[in-house]
Amino acid sequence: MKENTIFNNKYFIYTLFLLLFITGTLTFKDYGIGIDDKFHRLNGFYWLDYILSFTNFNETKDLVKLKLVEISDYTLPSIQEFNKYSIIFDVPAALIELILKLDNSKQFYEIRHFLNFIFFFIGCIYFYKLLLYRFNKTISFFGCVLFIITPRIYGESFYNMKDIVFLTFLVMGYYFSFKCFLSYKIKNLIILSLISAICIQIRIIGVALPLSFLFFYFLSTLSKQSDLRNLKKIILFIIITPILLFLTWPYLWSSPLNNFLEVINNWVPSIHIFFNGKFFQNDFLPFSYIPLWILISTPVLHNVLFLIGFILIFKRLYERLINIDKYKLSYDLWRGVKEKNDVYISLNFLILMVLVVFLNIRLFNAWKHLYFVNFYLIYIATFGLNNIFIFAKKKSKLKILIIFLVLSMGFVIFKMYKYHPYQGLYFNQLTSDNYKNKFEIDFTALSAKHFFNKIFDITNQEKLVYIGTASWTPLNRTLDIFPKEKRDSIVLVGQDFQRADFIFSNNISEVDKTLNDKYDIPVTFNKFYEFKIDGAILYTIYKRNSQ
Amino acid sequence: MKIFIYKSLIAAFIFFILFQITIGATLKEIKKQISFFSSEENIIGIKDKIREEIISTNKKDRYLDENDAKILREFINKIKSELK
Repeated sequence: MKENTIFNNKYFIYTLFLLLFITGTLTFKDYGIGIDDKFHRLNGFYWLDYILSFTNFNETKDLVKLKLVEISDYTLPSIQEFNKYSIIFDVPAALIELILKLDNSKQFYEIRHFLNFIFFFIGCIYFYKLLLYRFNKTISFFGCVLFIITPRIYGESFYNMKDIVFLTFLVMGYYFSFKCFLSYKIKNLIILSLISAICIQIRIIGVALPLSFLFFYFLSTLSKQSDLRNLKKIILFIIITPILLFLTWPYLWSSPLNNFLEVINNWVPSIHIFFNGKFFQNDFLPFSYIPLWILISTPVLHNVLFLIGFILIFKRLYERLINIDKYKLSYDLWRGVKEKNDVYISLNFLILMVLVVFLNIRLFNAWKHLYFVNFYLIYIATFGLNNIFIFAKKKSKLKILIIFLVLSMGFVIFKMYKYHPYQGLYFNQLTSDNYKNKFEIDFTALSAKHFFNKIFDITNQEKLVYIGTASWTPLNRTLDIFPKEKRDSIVLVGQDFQRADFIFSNNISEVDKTLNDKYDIPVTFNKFYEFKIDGAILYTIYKRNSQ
Repeated sequence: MKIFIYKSLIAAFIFFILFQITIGATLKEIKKQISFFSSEENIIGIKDKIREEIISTNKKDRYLDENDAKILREFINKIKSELK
C-alpha cells in the first residue's frame, strides 16, 4: 500500500520511542516489588557465584557469597527449584548491583526494574523493525503503538524478569528468522542460533522458535529446490544451537542431558487457582482458561483488530490451500516472502495455542507464562489493521480511520494512566467489576507496597504491629524495601490469626478456599479497608474488633 | 509430495483437536475426579463431615429409628443364637 499519511515520517517513530523511554525512566520507581524480585536476585548471585568459581576473582567471590547469605529467606523455594531458571537477566543484574555497589534494598530492586524495562524497550524497537519487513511505515508505526500500549505487558515490563525478557528475545528471534527467509546468511543464522538458545533457556517453550524455523525451511525446499543450496548452513544452525544453549546456560554444564530433561519435567508448581469464580487445580484447567484471560485483559481495540486479522489470514491461507496446484507457479501456501511471514507467524500462534490449551499445561497468575503470545496477537492485529487501511483507502475514508484509531489508542493510554502503576492487572471494558473479582488479580503482590504504606499510616510505629496473611502472598519479600525502623515495627504472623492486629487478604490461594479453612477470616475481625483499581479488589485489610 | 505433506499435517492437526475435545476431555475429567477424591482437602472435608454428623446425632434423643432398632435387635439376636 502506498503511503501518504503523516505517520510515515521517521520522526514520529523516534518520538514514540523517546516518549516510551522517558515515561519508563520517570516511572520505574513507582512499581511495587513483585514476589519474584527476590527470587531473581538470589538466582543471579547463585549463578554468578558458580561462574566465578572457575576464575581467580577472589574479592568478588567473597562479595557474592556475602550477598547470597544476606538474601536467604524462608519463603524462597529450595535451590533445586530455582537454579533451573535463566541467567540472561539475573546474572547481569547481579553484576550491575556489584559494580554500582548498591547496598540499599530499594535501590537494587529499582535498578532491576529499570533493566527489565530496557529489555522491553529493545523488544519494542525490534518489533517495529520486524513489522517494517512486512508492512509500510504507517502500519508499522501503529502496530508498534499497539504493542507498547498492551497494558498488561507494559506494566509487567517493569518487574517481570522472565516473561518480558522472553518476549523480547522471541521478537528478536522472529526478526532474524524473517531476515533468514530473505537470505540464509551465516551471520543471520548464527545470531538466530544464539537467540534460540537464549529463548530455550528462559522458557522451555522457546524451543518452538528454532523448530518452526526449520519446519518452514523444510516446507520451502519442497517447492523451491534452490533453497536446498542452503542445506549446509541449516545443518550448521542445527549443530550450533544446542552448543550455544550449553555454553550460555551454566545449569547444563554439570549434566547437560539430565538437567535439560529435568527442566522439561518441572515447569510450574501444582497449586489451586481462582478462575471464573471457582478454584481449579492447575493440572486440570478448563480449555477456556487462556482464551478467556486474553479476552478480558487485552484492550477491546486489540481484540477486534486481532479477530479481523486472524479471520483474514486464515481465510487467505484456506484459499491458497484449496487452489494449490503443482503445475502452476502457485505451488505453495504463500505468494512471496511477506505472505510467508504471515503464515509463519499465524501458524506458530495457532499451533502453540492449541498445544497449550489442550495439553493440560500447568499455569497460574493469569496468562503470565504466555505473555510472549502478545507478539503473535499484535502481529495478527497489525495485519488486520493493514487490511482495514487498504479498505478505507479504497473508500476514501483514511482520515476518518486514522482519527478513530488515534482516539481509540488515546483511550487505552488514558486507562493505562488510570491504572498506574498497576497496568499489569488491567481488565478491559467488557469485564464488569463483579466479574473482575472472580479471578486471581494481584498474584505478584504489587499492591503489598501500598498495603504496608497504609499500615504505617494508620498505626503508631512505636508499637509492634502484628500482621496475619489470609493469602498465599509472601508479604515479607515486599517488606524488604522499607527502612529498617519501619520493617522492625511489623511482625508477620502468617495464619496465626490469634496474634494478629490486622489481616491481609486477597484472592490468591494455593488451596481451595471452599474446602480448606486455612485462610478463613476469624469472626473477631472486621473488614477495615479495601484497595480497588477500576473495580478490581487488589487486597482487603481486616482489623481486630476493638472490644 | 508437498500436497501430500500439507494434507497429512492438516489431518493430524484436526485429529489431535478432535481427540482432545472428545476422549482427551473425558480422560481429563476422570483424572480430575480421581485427583480430587484422593486430595488431602477432600479427605479433611470427609472427616469434618463425619465429625459434624456425629455431633448432631449426639444431640438427638435416639441414635436409631425405632423400626431400624427393632430390625437390628432381631438380626443381632439371631446371630448370637447361631453363635452359641
